[in-house]
Amino acid sequence: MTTTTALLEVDQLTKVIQHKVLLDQITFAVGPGEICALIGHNGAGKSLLLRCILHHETIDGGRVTVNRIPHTDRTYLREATGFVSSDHLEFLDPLTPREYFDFLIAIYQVPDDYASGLVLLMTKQLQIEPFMDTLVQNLSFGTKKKVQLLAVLLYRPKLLVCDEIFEGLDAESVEVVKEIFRNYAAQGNSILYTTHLHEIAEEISGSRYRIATGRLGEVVR
Amino acid sequence: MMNLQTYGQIYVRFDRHERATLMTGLYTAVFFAGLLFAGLAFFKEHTQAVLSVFHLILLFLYGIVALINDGKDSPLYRLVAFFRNTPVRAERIVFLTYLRKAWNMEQLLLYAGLTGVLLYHEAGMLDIALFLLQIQAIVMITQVMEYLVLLLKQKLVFQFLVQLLVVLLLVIAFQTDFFRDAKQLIGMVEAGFLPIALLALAAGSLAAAVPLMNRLLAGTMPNVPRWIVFFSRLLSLSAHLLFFHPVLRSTVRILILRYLRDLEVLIKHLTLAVMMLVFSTISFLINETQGYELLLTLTWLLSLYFFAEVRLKRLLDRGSHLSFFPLPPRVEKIAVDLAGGLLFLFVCTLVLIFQSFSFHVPKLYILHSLCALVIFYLLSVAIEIPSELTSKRRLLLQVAYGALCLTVVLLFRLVNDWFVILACFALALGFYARTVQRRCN
Repeated sequence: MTTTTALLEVDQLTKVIQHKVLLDQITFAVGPGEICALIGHNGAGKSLLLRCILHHETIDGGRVTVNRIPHTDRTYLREATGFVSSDHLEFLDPLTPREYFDFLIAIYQVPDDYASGLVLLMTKQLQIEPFMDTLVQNLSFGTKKKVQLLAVLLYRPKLLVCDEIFEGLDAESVEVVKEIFRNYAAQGNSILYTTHLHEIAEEISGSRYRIATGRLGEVVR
Repeated sequence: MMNLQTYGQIYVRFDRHERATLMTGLYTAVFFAGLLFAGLAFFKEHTQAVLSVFHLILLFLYGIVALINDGKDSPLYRLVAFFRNTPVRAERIVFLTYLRKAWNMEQLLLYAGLTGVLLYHEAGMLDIALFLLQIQAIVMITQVMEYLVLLLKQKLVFQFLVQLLVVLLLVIAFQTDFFRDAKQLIGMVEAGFLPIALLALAAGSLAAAVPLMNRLLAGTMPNVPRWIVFFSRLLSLSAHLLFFHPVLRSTVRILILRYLRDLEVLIKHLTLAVMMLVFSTISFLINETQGYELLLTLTWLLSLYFFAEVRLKRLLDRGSHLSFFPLPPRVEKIAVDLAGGLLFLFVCTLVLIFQSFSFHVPKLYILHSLCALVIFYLLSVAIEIPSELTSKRRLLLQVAYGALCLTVVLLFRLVNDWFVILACFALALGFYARTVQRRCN
């Protein structure tokens, strides 16, 4: 079910852990400017699928490309994608948001004017301005996610990948994040995210895939 | 209620040491029984002193094991973290831990061996019982010592102060000739002072064990103190002064921040500084010289410690998480090595400067030692460490690194010349460049 213009193409992806097939020949694609939701119960394999796509886990079969470049090209993959996940906080936990943002601005060579403008705007919008000099490990669950989201948006990856981003956010922040998703996709970028919340998925996503017991079964378009 | 068998299963899961084989148990028993046998055979006139010294050796060895507790990596920390989420009471944990420590296969073999030796020397049953009772006291004392150490590790300032106190006490002890008055010490041992002291300490430990365990169960591992956050920012500025490549500069800076705020890494460097202070203070006080050899030996020992505790454990590589970013492998490796090197050299330089002022060590010796440290560090990062390391391979790498550095020490000592220093530096740098190149291919 892949399209030639897709930004992300996942073809027959298979992941086996201890002789158990956890992801079984998963095939789907996400086009430019598309918001795609992966829906599924706990343990269905949503987070594992994201980690496999972003090459944080090796895969046992199939192929993944971003912009037609295999995901094994780590340097390109890290430039073209951004990951927001509560399982990926080891790096920023001992840092303050300001220190982390400065680091990203330097290594992704984000223009200073653009970066400072965006940080100013988004820290207000996401209500993380008072925590800019607090260590991330001391922030609340929701605030950590917002810091991660802003960090990723700083370098504008073509593909934004979020694992359960709406979990732990207050109602106001959920609305802000939905708005950010819409605007980001409108600029031609793609978003792939996992969620349990069907209403949100239905409201903002162009495509929705249900994942159950490692298989991408029902496709709701 | 949790029984000994259930606890045993949990204990073995967290304490790798507990998986000792029958063979290691036998070796231990034979070693200590042999030691006691030899002591009693050689010093027939001083039986009481031999028994007391034997207990002191045991206390020292068990104490070392308790003191080198590895913080978050220690079995005790993992056990406490596990029990924190269970309804098991502190009294029960303390009691079952004691049973597992004092009555495991290794200990039983040891008791059997020691009893055999004492029976051979025609000791009375009451004496043997008292002898074994003192070993129980030692186990209890060191068990509580371990609780105390872990509790102190949760307060970084305390830990630093305790280590500093050890250094000061050593200096005072040497300055006041405490250890030279050995006769008094032997007299105390022969007067049977030790058994009473041990039993009293064990009683005190028993009383303190439950409250300490309760404190451990209630607490969490510490947050990074504010002064560390501030200090890490200050030290990370050095990256701005030293490196011009913007990506490398930012990566080194962020790694310094991360390493200094990682308590495990920080504690290793703190221990490094204290070890250096203790060794050099004792050496200078005993030798009363500003010996060049002494400083070189010191730098060699420190580098060995760094290699074994930081490099071989991949502490800095594991904690970098740079694979999350679009950095080429070359930059990744160089950044980790530069950040680690800055930290290592910073700690060593501070101590060397302190020693230079305290013992009037010539500045040139200090400079030579720093050069040696840079060369040793380059060699340590030039050696590729596999992600999975068997104990045999670990030992081999340690021996190889030790020998490599020792060659440099000998060269420094035999041909005390800047040309040799520069040549060693160039060779080490070349070796390192080759490793980086190989990793990138």
